[in-house]
Amino acid sequence: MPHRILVADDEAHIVELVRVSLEEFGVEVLDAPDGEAALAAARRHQPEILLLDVMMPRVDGFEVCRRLKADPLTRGIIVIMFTAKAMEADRQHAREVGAQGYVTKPFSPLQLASVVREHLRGLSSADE
Amino acid sequence: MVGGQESRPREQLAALYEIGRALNSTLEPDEVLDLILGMTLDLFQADAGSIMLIQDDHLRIRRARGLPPEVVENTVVPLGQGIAGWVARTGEMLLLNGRIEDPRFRNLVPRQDEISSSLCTPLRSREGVIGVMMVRRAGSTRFSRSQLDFFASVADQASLALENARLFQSEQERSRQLALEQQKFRAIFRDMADGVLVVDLGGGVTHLNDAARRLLGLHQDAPGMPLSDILPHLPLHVVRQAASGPGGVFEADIKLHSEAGNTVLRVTATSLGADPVAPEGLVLLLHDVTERVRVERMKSEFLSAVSHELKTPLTTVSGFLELMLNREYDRPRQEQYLSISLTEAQRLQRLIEDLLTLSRLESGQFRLQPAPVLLDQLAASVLAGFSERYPGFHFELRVEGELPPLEADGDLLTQVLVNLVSNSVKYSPDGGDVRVLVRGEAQGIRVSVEDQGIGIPRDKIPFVFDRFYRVDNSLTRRTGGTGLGLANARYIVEGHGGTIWAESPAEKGSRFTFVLPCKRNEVGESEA
Repeated sequence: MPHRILVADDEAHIVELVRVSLEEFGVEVLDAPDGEAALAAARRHQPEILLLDVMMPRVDGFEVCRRLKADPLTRGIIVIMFTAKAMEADRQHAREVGAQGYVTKPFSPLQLASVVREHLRGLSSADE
Repeated sequence: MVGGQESRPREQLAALYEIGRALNSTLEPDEVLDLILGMTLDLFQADAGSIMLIQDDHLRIRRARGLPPEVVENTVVPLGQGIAGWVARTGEMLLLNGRIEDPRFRNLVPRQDEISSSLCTPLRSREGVIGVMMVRRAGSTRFSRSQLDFFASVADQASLALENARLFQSEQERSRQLALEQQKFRAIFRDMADGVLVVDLGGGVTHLNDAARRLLGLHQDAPGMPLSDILPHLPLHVVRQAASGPGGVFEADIKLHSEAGNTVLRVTATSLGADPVAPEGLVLLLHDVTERVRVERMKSEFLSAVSHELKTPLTTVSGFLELMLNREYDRPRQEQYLSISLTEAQRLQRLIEDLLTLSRLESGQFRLQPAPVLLDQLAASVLAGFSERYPGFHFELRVEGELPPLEADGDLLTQVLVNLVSNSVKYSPDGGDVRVLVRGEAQGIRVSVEDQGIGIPRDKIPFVFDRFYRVDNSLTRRTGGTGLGLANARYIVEGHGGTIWAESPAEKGSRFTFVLPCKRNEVGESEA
């Protein structure tokens, strides 16, 4: 079964960039344009990894992560946050809400792919 | 007559005692002099007498009895001249009986034919001779030696009384000056805008001014109340430490929460007292920096937002370029990714331009040369441009009424129109009509841009002119706006003295309107 990854970002081109970046290892990429949609999609489709943008309208990324981790249904999803803000306080905040990773924009798509690959590998070994 | 031919010590003593008592009853110099003169004339049964005081090395009559008024007014005797001048200069008493032959003693009253006797004695203070007292008796009854001595004693009493009176007066004057100074400082202390607190060594507040009460929200206070009650988060020992030593200053920002809201106070403390090593306390100055802190935070947030807005298109551009350098894609995909990159780069460019405009607007660099602007023609050319680019839309311009001549910055107004029409296009995904109305009114010119697009939810209308605010995000993803268009438009309109607002009746379609004021004068010409 292919791995399922959910990308939550309100910028269409960024979503496309992530999709193309992850093309290589046959993952299924779903997307959501805002926080509410991201939470709904996470519950419905149970992705293994959620790539979550912080600056989204209405419900921001930190809040999405918090809710995700509070819900037993979605707690197990690996959350990697990305944002243009690169301050230490934000990394700290990400850790506090339970994110497993943090990528700053502009990100190198190759690096992103490598981070995702690492997490997927971790999941596979956990399965074994 | 006291001290007559037979001197009577007891009588003299009694008289002196009476004089002393009488003189104690008043501290007014002139009253004292009156009393002295009156009593002296009585005691010595003199016809005339005067008290003269030294001023600028001359004696002037201060009080007199039995002398013609013009003499009293005009007599000015240089020291050394005449009886009075001689006595004042030498400090010796003088008794002159009978006709005065000695040319040294020019008589004060030029009645050489009269026979009279005169007694004159100096009045003294600690600094020396301050004047003379003189009495004259007409007729042949002479003053005796013992009377001279007694006269001297009276003069001493008088001098003392006079000195006391003067000291008292100068003391009063000093007190008055001091009180005035105190009042001045109290007024300054009270009316200062910044709060001042004086804290003693024990940590108690000994003084505070009205501004301090206001800033700290104190409704009642008692002298000596501990500083820790008013400012619990201020570590007094740290303050003292920082403020100790020459030039030592403690400075910190303190947040206060109250029903009135949150304030941020800058507290500056210095030691009180002349000796920096042994201070007598602390002086705290409280300055309200709430507004400054708020502005700084807003600036910081804005920079953060700008940074994010700039990095987003950049992420796309650099991301796709990196992918294409490292992986193989067929031609159609290459073209697609290059096209996306180009679009995002252009978006970045527009954003930077909008930011520059914003920056220029905020630094007041616009309207350098207001020039006559024909708003209807401006609108027409803007719409012409949009018609060409967006064939799916129908752009309509209506001009109503007589347009007063407008003096404004044409480029900036063009930008406002472009921003508004562009928004209408962006938020009408199904195309449709975009109607622009330019109408001349009594107060100025009204322009409205109306579309049939997705409209604006009522609760969002207050925010649409905020920087980087975007109403619909799925559309935002497609249209790639900068989020600054309306913010800049508002800045420009308000900078021309106008107002701009948004409406979305029934939340279907939007209408943005702005009004630019023009002044019409009687001749029919007007200026904005």
